[in-house]
Formats: sequence, C-alpha cells, structure tokens
Amino acid sequence: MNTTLMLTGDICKDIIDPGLIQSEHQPLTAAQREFLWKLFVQIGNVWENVYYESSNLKSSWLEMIAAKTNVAPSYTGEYINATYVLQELIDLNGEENAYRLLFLTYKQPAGPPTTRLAHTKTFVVNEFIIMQVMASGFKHFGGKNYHGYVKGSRYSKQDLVRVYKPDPATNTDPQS
Amino acid sequence: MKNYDYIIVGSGVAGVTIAKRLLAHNPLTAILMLEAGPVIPSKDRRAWWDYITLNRTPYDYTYDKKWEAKSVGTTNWLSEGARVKAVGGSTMHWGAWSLRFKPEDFQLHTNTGEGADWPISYDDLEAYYQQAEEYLAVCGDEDEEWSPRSKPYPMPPFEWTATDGLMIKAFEEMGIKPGKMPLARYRKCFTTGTCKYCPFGSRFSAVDILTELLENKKYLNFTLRPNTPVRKINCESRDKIASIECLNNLTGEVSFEKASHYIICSGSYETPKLLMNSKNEFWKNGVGNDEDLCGRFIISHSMLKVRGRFPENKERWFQEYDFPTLMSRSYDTPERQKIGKILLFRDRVQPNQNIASLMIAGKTCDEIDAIMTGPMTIEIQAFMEEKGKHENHLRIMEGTDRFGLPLTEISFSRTEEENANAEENLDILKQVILKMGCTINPGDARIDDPGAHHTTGTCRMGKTAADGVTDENLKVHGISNLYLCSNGVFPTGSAVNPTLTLTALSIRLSDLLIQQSNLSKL
Ligand SMILES: Cc1cc2nc3c(=O)[nH]c(=O)nc-3n(C[C@H](O)[C@H](O)[C@H](O)COP(=O)(O)OP(=O)(O)OC[C@H]3O[C@@H](n4cnc5c(N)ncnc54)[C@H](O)[C@@H]3O)c2cc1C
Ligand code: SF4
Repeated sequence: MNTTLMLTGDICKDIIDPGLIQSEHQPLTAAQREFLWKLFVQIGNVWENVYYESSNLKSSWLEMIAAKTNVAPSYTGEYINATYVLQELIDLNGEENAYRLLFLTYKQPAGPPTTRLAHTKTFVVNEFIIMQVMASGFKHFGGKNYHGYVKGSRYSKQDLVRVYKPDPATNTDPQS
Repeated sequence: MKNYDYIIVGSGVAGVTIAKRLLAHNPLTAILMLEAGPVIPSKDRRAWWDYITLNRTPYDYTYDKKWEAKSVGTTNWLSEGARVKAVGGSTMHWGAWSLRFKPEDFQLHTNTGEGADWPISYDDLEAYYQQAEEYLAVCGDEDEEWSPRSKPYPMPPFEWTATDGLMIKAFEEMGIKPGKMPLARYRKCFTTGTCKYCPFGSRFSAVDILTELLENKKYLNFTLRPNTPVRKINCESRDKIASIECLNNLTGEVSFEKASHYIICSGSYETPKLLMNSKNEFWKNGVGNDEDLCGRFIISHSMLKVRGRFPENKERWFQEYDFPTLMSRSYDTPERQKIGKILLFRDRVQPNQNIASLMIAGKTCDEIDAIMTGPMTIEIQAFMEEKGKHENHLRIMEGTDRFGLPLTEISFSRTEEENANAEENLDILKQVILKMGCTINPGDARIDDPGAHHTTGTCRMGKTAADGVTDENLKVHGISNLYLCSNGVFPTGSAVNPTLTLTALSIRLSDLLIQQSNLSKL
C-alpha cells in the first residue's frame, strides 16, 4: 500500500458549492455519529497526543456535534458528506492508511472548498482537530491549560497553569 | 404616552449598573432602556463552539466598519473591531482588566499644565471604587499599593504564570515592581480562557445583569427595547428635556418617549453625537453644546509593543490563560505625567504556537515537538496616557449606520513632542526585553495607532460650562434633567483601562438620583 499518495474516487472529487451543505431539519443518525467518532479517535491515534483513550472526550465531542447539528446553520449535511468521503477513502486506501493520508498527506487546494473531500477537511477534520487539541491533545506538547480547555474552578487546590515559582530551580515544570 | 421615571439610552455597563441600583432601591421604578443594537445570546453553547472552531463570535458583525467611522487626522484612529453595538454593549467582549485610576489622574492640568483636571478627586470616588470592585467581583492583590484603598479586593488575584517569571526577573533587575493584574470575574471562573465569549458568564458582562433584571418579577416597570436607536433629545425649555425621539429599527416606527430624568449611557462616541444632533431653538449648536465641547478632546491609549525573541523554548512555554497576569504601574506615577504615564503588562497571547493549526497543516507529532521547543517570542506591551487637545475631535458624518446611528468622523493628531515621548516610553519596554536576554528584530518595537477601545474626553465633565459638558455630578450644565454617563465624561484617560472608573461613576450617579428621588418624596 502506497503511504504517500492518497487515492481518491468519484465521491471525493465531486464538485460542489463551497458553502455549508444545506441540511436544516435533517437528523444525524446514530450510525453516522459513530462513524464520525471513529474519525475523531483516529486523530489521537495518528498524532499520539492523548494520554488515555479518546473515550474520555466523548461526552464533550457529542455535545459539540449536538450543538452543531441541532442549531442553525446545521452541520448535518457536512457530517453526512464526510461519512461518504471517508468510506470511499477507506475502500481505496485501507482503513489505517486512509486516516493517516487524510491528516498528514492531503494538501487542500487554497481557497474555498469546492470538492466533497475539501468540504470534509474544512468543516469536519479541521474542526475535530481543533476540538481535540483544546479538549486534551495540547497536554502532550506541554502545559496544563489551553484556550478553550475547561481546567476547573480557579479556586481549585491544583495549579491551573504552570505557575511562577520564585526559585528558578522549581520553575521548570513543562509536562506536569 | 407613558411617563417613565428614567429613560436610559444604551445598555452597556454604565446604563445597566444605574438601572440595577435604581431598581434595587425601589423595585417599582419605571425605567425605559433604549438600545440601538440587537439582542445577542450570551452563554450560548453553539456560539461558544463556533468561537472555538471558527474563531468567530456572535457579536462580530456589530463592530464599526471602516466606512462607518472615518479617521481623518494625521494619526490614524482605529474604530474597527472595538465597539459592540448590542444589548450589553462592549462588555460582551471586554478583557475585564479592572484597575483604579490614581490620585494624580484627577489633577493632570494642575500637575503638568496640559490636559484637564477632574472636578472631583480620587477621594471623592474611593468608596465607589470599592463598591464597583465588589459588584464586578474584581480579583486583585491585597498587597498592591498602587492606589490608596480603604478595603482589600473582594477576591484573590490570579497568580503569575511560569512564563511571567521570565519577565519578572528582568523587572526586578530594573527596579520595576511586578504586580498582579486585577480582573473582574463575576462568577466562578473555570479558567477556560475564551473570555471574549465566556461559556459560563464568569467574566462580567452587562448582558447577564440585564437578563437578571428582566427576569426579576418584582421589576414590573422595567422595560428594555433593543433595536431602538435614540435620534434626538427634545427640549421644552432651555433647562428642561421634554422627550426623546427614537426609531424602532424593526417596524420603522418613530416614537417620542417621556421621562422625569434622561440618562445618556451610549458610550463615548454616541453620547456627544446625540447631543450634537439635538439642535433646537434653545440650543442652536446641539443640546449642552453652546461651548462647542462635544466631541472635542478625544483621546484613547497609545499601545506600545516590543517583541523579544529567544532562539529556543526548551521548557515549551506558551500562554495558558487568555488574559495577562503580570503588570506594573512603576511608570504610572506623578513624575511620569508630563511625558505620559504607562501601564506595563505582558502580552496575553505570546509565547504561543497554534498546535491545531500545525496539525491541520499536516505536521507530524515530531515536527510539532520541534516547533514547540524551537524559537520563541515574548512581548511586553503598555498603554500610554494621552492628553486631550481641543483640535482633536469626533464629529458626525452624514448618513447612518446599520443600527440607525449617525456615522462618525474622527480627527486625531499627535505632536512631534508626543511622538518623542512615546519613543522614550518605548525605550523602557525595549530595555526589559533586552534584560531578558532576547533579541529585538527590526519592526518588533512599535507604537500602535490609538482607537475606540478606551475613548475618553468627548463630553468631559468640568466645574463650569466653559470647562466641560457636565458638572461634577454628570448633569449637563444648564439642564435640570439630563445626565451623561460614559467614558466620554472623563477629563483624563490615565494609563489604565476605564471601566472600573466608569462603574464607580455609575454607582455614584445612581446614589445621587436615589437621593434626589427620596428628597422629592418628602
Ligand atoms: C476589545 C476591547 C477590550 C476591552 N477591555 C477592557 C478591559 O479589559 N478593561 C476595561 O476597563 N475596559 C475595557 N474595554 C473598554 C470597555 O469595553 C468600555 O469601557 C465599556 O464597555 C464602556 O461601557 P459603556 O456602557 O459606556 O458603553 P458601551 O458598552 O459602548 O454601551 C453603549 C451602548 O449604547 C448603545 N447606543 C449607542 N448610541 C445609542 C443611541 N443613540 N440609542 C440607543 N442606543 C445607543 C450602543 O449600541 C451600546 O450597546 C475594552 C474595550 C474593547 C473594545
Ligand atoms: S477564563 Fe473561562 S470561565 Fe474564566 S472568564 Fe474566561 S472564559 Fe469565562
């Protein structure tokens, strides 16, 4: 299996309008949601940036999906589109490779997304990555807190960020 | 036509604070609050997720567009991206840094021969600062000694971060006293760092107070009308306001509303514009504007910035809060007034690497690790005090914006001397960065354009009508029932953010109105 070239088919290449795919009042099924969850989990697998299972993040992720599908403008059309695109990528590249190629190899053409594949990257993959990093993935790269991370009450006994300790010897605490 | 006790124009922190206190005193007080902008949901989960994933807030669209507020002076004045025109006003997106002015800020002219004096002193406001800090729930350091205070802060401060430590050392070596930034955190803060759109309503926002007032069943006579710009103030005699004219943007209906007292809390752009627009047989130049002071003496803060670069970042420092925790007022002293005082603070954004953007660009984990430990930038910034000059002004431009408010023109220029003073202050910032062992690349030390964020002076208070538009009690000179309450009434801007002082003035004004209403009942 080629690991540098991503094979794409008719669905990925299909030209569509760059705006959010219209889908008001359309429901997202449980099966579609689970399919997308697998995509989310693969972010942690490819970058190896979640310490425990991504499952810890599932309730947050579900909350985002609900907010993005239940309220206008609905992302349901984008999410359903992504399931078709991903299935085609998996069929052509194999399951493990498909995600890696989509995340690391695929270079989205500049400008607004005009193919089903570009829509998936813009509205689904990129937003899932942002959510994953802020919900936990940032910790792997250092730091205790991050823009969007609900660290907890500011009166918690735990340090909320890497705090200043006047003694320089104790002021180097990148990972804890 | 209903006759209200009070009409309040504008639903920002000033208007809402006054309404809250009047209602707390007498729940049946009849108040009509008119707001040009729309209602924008606060604490809305979808809006928060869109802010996280798209970096877009639900109030972005209310900001001034370039063509709605023109800068025509020799120093560019920025209006875009600053004023939120919506229910709650600009506290929808403020940083909530809450610092008191210092005693000398009330006596700028006496001390320097430039700018103006306030008709009140720091001591007159001290007790109101205290109340404002309690109301906004300011988290500050009880050991700080920047301004005299009769009581400690109501909440403990946010601690310095480890990254602050890099700068604290340089501060100490230069004899600069490091301080903890006082921040208003109204409810329990979960340190989420998305303060431009707080998902919990923790960072104080006037819209959340307003929601509580509207939901309170005791406040039967409190009415908020959004989407309703006030266009004109009408007089029945030279010293008395008869009504105001407003437009319902949604229906197109124009109405005239009456009250015993009119309180204009429409911010430092719109307050003078509303007065200037209200020309009549008694006030040919606009209500309260016989001396042509409305819109004049406009100032804000010059923002000074110096960025330093370290070749590597072994500790992987990045900014973990979305607000600054380190500041200093060592150059915010009476001795510095002549040249322009500065508030020093460490930038709230740097050092930073946008990890998600790197992943989106297809960088592998190892590549991102290398970037995180590679070159690092850190920045020190400062607000610099400006002095009001008669020739710097805000005027009405022909036409109206999307909210039915008149367009704005601002003419702002700095003198050679002011530019040199700014450079001298910038040198202090450069020294801090060099002391940290950083390099400063060309273009990394700069003086940004001033702008709408902290606009003051445009309808300043003064002892007499020749000195200011309002008296020391914020009542427009020569008119018995018209009050102004916005940053525009400040005769000086100091080196710190304005809203704590504005809130203290709002509390003081509401106490005065309550006293008056008690007296009238005797
Ligand atoms: C990005 C940013 C960050 C800031 N951060 C800080 C900070 O950290 N600390 C600090 O102290 N300050 C900060 N400020 C300043 C702070 O936001 C203002 O001082 C404060 O919000 C002013 O409140 P206000 O009630 O006077 O006016 P506003 O909040 O401007 O409210 C006035 C309201 O009146 C309405 N209005 C105007 N004209 C009319 C009319 N004719 N009829 C009806 N309604 C009208 C407007 O739509 C608006 O909603 C910041 C400002 C900006 C832009
Ligand atoms: S840090 Fe988070 S919880 Fe605290 S005020 Fe900012 S957004 Fe709200």
